[in-house]
Amino acid sequence: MAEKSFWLLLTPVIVIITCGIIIPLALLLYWAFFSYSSAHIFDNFNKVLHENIFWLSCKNSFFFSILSVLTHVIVGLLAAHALNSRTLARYKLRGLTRTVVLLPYLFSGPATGLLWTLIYYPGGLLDYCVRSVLGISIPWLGSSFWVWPSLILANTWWCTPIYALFLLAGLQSIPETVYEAAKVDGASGWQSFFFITLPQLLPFLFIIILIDFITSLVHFDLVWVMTRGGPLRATYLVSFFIYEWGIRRFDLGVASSASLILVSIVLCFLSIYIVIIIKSNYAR
Amino acid sequence: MHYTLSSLQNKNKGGAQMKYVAIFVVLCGLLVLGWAEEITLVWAEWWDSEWGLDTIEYLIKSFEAKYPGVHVRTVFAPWDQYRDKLLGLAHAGQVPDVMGMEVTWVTTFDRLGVLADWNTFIQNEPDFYNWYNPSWLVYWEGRPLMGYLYLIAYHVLYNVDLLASKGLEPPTSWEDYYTLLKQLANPREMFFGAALSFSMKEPDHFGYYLFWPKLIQAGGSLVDAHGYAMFNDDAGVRTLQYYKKLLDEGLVFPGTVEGALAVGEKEFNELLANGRVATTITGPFTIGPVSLRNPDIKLAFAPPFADVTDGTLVTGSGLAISSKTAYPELAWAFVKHLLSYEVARYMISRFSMPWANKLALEDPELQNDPVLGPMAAMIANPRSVSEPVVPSMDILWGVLLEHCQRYFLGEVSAQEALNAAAVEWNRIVGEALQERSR
Repeated sequence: MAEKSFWLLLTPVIVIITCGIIIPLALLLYWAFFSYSSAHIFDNFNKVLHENIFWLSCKNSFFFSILSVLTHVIVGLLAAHALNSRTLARYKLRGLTRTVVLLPYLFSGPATGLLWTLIYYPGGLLDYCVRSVLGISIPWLGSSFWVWPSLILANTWWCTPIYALFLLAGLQSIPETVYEAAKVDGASGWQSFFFITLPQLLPFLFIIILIDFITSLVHFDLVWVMTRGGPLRATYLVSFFIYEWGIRRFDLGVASSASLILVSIVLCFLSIYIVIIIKSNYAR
Repeated sequence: MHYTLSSLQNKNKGGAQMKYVAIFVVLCGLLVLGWAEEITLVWAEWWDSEWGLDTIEYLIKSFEAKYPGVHVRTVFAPWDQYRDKLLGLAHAGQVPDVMGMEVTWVTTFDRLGVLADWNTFIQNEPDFYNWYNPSWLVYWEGRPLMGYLYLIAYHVLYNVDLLASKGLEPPTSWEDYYTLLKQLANPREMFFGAALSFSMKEPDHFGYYLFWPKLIQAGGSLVDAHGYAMFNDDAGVRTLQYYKKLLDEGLVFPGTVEGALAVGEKEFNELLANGRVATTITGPFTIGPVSLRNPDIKLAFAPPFADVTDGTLVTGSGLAISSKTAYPELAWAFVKHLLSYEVARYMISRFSMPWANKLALEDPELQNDPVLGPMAAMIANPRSVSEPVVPSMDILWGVLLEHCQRYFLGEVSAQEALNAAAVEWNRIVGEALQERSR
């Protein structure tokens, strides 16, 4: 009976993993190595590796991921601290503030993209404010230089709330008594933060950085809506490359090869990252 | 037999239950029969936001009135998302029976095997060419896979009242247009003569609206018979130089080169509708969405320009029929309905669209229309060039614009930009042709 219910409970998971991960992965491998447009099993990989635009898209994606992770963690940490403050609790504003802060995450990627496009648009809200104050017009999405801060700001506005919420959970798991003891020992606010808060939050930060880095690396919708990779392919991400080849050109071989290369690169980076984290934990 | 009150009540309850079951079964049967009789035709289109839902409803209802029992359901996506949505449906094996289609996309969808050969339908229609011009059919590898629904020539569209209020005349040549933009530009008030398509968001708009028509007028050609680049000659260079002059002198919204590279069609429709710019270069399809935003606006096309030649690019947006449809005859009937004289008159009078119906376009009343007059003249001009099908065209426009943007930003010369674009263009076309020959 116990074995029966064990299998009964396990079946949905097996079905989901088989249909959602194993079969697509098998198809990806098949297309990458044996797609109809490929004469030799490494032809598709060869084609991808010789496309300059693939390397450009990898560079852009890594740049986007690193900037996204940095801003999400820093702003998320500040937001979590603010949400955890006693002042908010004193005025019974914690619940309301948390709801308001979480609101941007309820928007979909394309909706966020459209919203921020309108804000950045020449003659739009931001442009109007900057022109009124500084008397200059900044091409937020039209310049290869300004387009990155513009995208990162929009992405931070959209994604930070969820990471702030994770970090808030981390902050709340730190016992008050530890801070009180530090205070008795004469620790300043900054010392408390660096020697108590940050070390206690490390497991949370480790997970957040991991998840954020992977999701940013395969990011698509927000940037697609805002720039479509322009200007001058300055924001052309690796997901655009895979999409263009897989969907628009319907060359699943090249798209699958590019996906596999991307997965391999990500795995390499993550392995190094995990090894560093584990070693630092042992060292402690 | 002895009945208690409760057993009687139960018996009656049982009878009532049986009655309900019987009614339910009969209703289900009727519903199934009803469904079985109703045929649903699926039409994928991007015109809801351009023509308004009332127009779409008119097009559907007038067809359904002719074919009782047939119901037309639309699958809508705005133009900039439409191709990807249709591709998704095609990949998933859910191809709509009738599809809005662009020439640029024909090779992509044909590769998926979802486009029906129109010869199958036309051969049973002896009078088809009496009202439909054979040149409005789009051929790929010897098969007509798409037919134009409306024809397009791209030209300067201007706000009539705005120009009149400033005492300015519509331009009659490219130089005249440049002078007009100079007279109109007022960066302090954030008012400009034109908003034009230089954005990576819609690279094909740069190709169709700006580059190709001007290139033809400058005496050049975009591609040869196989689709290989021919634009990297003197005519191409002069074309790019003209647009760079407009950008460099701050005559295009928002007055800076980099700013202009970020403005897409949605934005310039808004700008035209709310009077922040006076002109744009586009096709007649822009009139619909701009008029929906501002019903009081009066728009007209400038008289046709001439440079080395007075011909221009003639293309169109159209319809394709699914090769997988379960109702090919009905799909064809729906296409014929959309191309009919009755629909053509409606669309011409409502949106000034040069509808692909010879009888409607030949109507003398239309020749004096401020929109259709110049448009009809450009379309009918024997020196105008019809758009050929080029494989992977949607990708190629991105390649061309990327290099042209480098020139506009001053990173390379016009000749260098066009040469680099041509090399990449030819590589992609070569690969596509090689792929097809396998």
